[in-house]
Amino acid sequence: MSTWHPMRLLVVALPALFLALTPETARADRQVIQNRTYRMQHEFTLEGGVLPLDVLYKAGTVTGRYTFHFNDFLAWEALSLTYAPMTDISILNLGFGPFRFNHFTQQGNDLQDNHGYDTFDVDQLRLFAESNLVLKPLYGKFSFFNRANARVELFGVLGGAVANFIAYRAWPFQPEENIGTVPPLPATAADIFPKPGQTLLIRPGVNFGGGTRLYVGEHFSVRLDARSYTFLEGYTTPKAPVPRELPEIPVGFTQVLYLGVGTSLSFGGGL
Amino acid sequence: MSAALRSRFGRWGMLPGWLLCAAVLWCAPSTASAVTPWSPYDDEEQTLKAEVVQQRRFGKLHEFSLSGGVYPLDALYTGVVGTFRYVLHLSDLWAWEIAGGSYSFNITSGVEKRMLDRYGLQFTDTERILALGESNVILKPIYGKFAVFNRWIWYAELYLLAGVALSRYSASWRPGPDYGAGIRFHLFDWLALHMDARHYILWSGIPPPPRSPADFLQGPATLSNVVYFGSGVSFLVWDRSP
Amino acid sequence: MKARGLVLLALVVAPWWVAAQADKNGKPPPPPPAQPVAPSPDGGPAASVDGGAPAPKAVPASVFESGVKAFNRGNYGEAAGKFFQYIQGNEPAATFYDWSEYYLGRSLRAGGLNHAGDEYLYNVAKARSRPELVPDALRGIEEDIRTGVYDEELLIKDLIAGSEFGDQPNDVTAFIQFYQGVADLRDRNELWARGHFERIPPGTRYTAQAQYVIAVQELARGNLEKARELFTEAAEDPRADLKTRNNAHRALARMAFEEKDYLGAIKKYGDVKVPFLSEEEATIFLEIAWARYHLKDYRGALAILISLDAPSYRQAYFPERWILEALIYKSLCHYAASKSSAREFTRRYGDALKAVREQRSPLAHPVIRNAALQSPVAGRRLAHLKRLNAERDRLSGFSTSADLSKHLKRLYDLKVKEGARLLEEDLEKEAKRVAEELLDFEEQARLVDYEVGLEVFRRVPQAARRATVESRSSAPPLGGHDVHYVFDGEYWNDELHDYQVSIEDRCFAEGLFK
Repeated sequence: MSTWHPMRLLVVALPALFLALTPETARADRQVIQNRTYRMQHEFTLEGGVLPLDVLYKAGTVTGRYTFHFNDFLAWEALSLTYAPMTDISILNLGFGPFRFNHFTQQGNDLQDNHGYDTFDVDQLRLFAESNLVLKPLYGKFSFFNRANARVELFGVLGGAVANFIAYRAWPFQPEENIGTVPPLPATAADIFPKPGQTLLIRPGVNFGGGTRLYVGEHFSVRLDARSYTFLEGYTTPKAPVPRELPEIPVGFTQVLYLGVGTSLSFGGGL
Repeated sequence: MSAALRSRFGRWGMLPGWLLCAAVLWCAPSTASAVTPWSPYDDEEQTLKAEVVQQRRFGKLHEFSLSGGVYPLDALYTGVVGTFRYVLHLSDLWAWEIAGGSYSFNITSGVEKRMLDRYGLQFTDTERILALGESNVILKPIYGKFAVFNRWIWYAELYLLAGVALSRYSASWRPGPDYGAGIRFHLFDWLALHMDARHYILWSGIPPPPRSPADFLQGPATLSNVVYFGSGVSFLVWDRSP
Repeated sequence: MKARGLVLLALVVAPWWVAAQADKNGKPPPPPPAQPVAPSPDGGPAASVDGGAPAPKAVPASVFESGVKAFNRGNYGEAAGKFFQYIQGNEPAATFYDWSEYYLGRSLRAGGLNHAGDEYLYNVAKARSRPELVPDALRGIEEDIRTGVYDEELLIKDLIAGSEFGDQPNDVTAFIQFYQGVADLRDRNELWARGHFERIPPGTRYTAQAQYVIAVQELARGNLEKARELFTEAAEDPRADLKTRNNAHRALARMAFEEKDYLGAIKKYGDVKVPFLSEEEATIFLEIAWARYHLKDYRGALAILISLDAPSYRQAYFPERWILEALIYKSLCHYAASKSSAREFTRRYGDALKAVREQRSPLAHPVIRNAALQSPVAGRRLAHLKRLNAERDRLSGFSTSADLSKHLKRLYDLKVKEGARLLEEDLEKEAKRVAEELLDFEEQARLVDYEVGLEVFRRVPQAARRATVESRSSAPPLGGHDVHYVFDGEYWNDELHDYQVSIEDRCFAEGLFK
């Protein structure tokens, strides 16, 4: 007697799902739209966004993305690069008199002004790259006050990312102290890993999110993105769990929320 | 040792407002020019205009909704929220969300501890939101439909809302205005899915007048900005007479 | 031993059961091996009934029995192989010869090889040496005919029209009498046909079908009232199949159209239930558009033409669509639009018309070939050919004896070749018709073009004068229960019936300028 394994379902279901997601396999009378007006194959996106979650700073970002669309429902965001320039040039404190304008919050400024910390003591996201699978199940049209149509798409993304941080007690080395020098090789095996409380300069992570796109023309669209990233920050010494709080795991994560608005140029994907 | 860290949001508190503006812009009409099958052959410009005229699917009077959501914007904790709402749909354009109640299960983010560990700093305002009641006016100006995997149709409407809210924090009551936007997908006559985003501006008391321009720019100290993202199901009953 | 006893019992009981089931519900019974004459107990070669010398390579009855067992197990490939072996190894007079043919037919049909199955059922029904098998064989054949995709020469012309079947159960009689009547009608023998139709027992689908056929005859003869009565009866007969009901509704709609009762016609067209996005639906759309045009609902007619431009209908051949559009624009005094519609006809079909004029075979032109394929006769033939091809492809998955496999392959190869030849014949005939029709439409398109040219310079006739310019309907409200989407060329299937067109009527009285 053969045993049934969930993997079998996966083996059967995955190609079936892919087929189901391939628009060409659908019978005309099962379809909803016969000749979708807006389609894309290569998409280049430029976005402006913000990282609003951190308590010490709120950074503005610029993002470039390239996405390859397999069909109307499935795409691969091959590479996205996001840069938060303010975190790199935070010395730029614009202002006059009592006013200051920089990307730090009141707390972030407090730390530097009143508690003797340096700008680069604040753990900040500087740059990250990501690659995502994009699922675009919903394509719709809205009647705009019965006068015009708005074509809209909703999508979800899931993928991996890697980020460069201006780290607090950075591991493997303090960037500003080591400019122009070669970092020493680790002397022992333990030196390969950060010490408890040290945080990584390069942090791998996963992310998920969603967004919406408004088609403006054949090659042009406007999009809104929201994504949540979890980056591996470092590790700490294990502690006993506290009631009403998530049990503390000895590995630390940096939660990053990204919200952005952008425009896309797209080519190909015609009928 | 401890620094008095007051508002955790400072000037970023208005961010959700900008997001709402973006959401409104999102509804801007497509500029794709109307192409009729006749266009290339018809030199009498714009002689023919074709439209699709359909009836709105959503014609029920009462909506009972259950949602799950988050209050994500506070760096110290994430609120996982369960919400129940009752909405009276007065017409195709207007509705009144008579009452909504939310309860937040708060999960600490560890930031407080991290701040203490790293910088030796403590927050003075560590109150957390527990429950929130609200009442809103809803405007539903934009209606449309989505093709789901090009197999099924979900009729959808976008809505904007504004109203008042009263929240219970761990040690205080905080009232204030709120606004938001959302979208509702009609799966069946009686069932819909919805997603919405709301921004609550809550006071813990009447703020004192600002004493200096810097004070003014930093905003009232007692203000808490709460952003909510949620989604859930709506049960619709009782046909609304036309 | 016990198992063998059971098989024998089944063999004896089965014929009664078959008959009882058939009488009860008129459906083909489950496979019942039947045996009025006991097989030789030793399983030795079954003697020929003729009493002649046994065939030297006679196959024993046990082969037939094991075939029946395999059939009952649902192993149709193996069963078919056994029955085929029995048939090959015995004379037609052998005890189980007809039974083997019957079961072989059923096994092949169960294996998805309908045409091959029909050939054996045909043999059983044609030979009639086992009368108890005939009703069931005929029912199997009827099943195929009902799908509308079948071998007309073999089953209708050869078998049904060319045979007498004696007393049969009611459902089978109805089927036989109807198709014998139809065959007589094709031979222009109306009297005999009527006789057959009258012998159809009441209570089957064929009553309505016969009514429809007679109604068509009456219509041709000009007996409108009689035809209408029969069409209505056929349309309202609850036992009638969907196709007959649709045809009857459609005939009634066309009669109303001819009698200029356009509203009545539109209503009747609404009763025709056609598959969504099918060519039939498109033809109904076009006919309704004509009715709307005659009702002077020009905007309604234009809205239907928008639906007809959907990609799902683009394969359908409707040259008159452009003529109708030109006429509509002309009626609204949009002369340039009217001219361009008339010329669009020439643009689309000019090439095909050139091919027709140059005396080349019209069929060589893809447009005409496509149009010919859309005719009912060629369409049926094509569908049959497609099915034969599909069944031939299925042969590789039908595991049976090597002999039968070889035989079936040859059978299908021949049949496909024959089917393709007949299709070409039909297409030749249809292409001629299409070519003539196209020439006729071209004439009409030219006429519209010419008339528009004249009309531009002519005063609007008194009767058509209106006091003012009838402007397009006012803009829709900003909101409300009705949702208006601007049509911009993207076709959503849920919108095909919801188009609305606004266009000015530019015909107005010259008095306005006085």
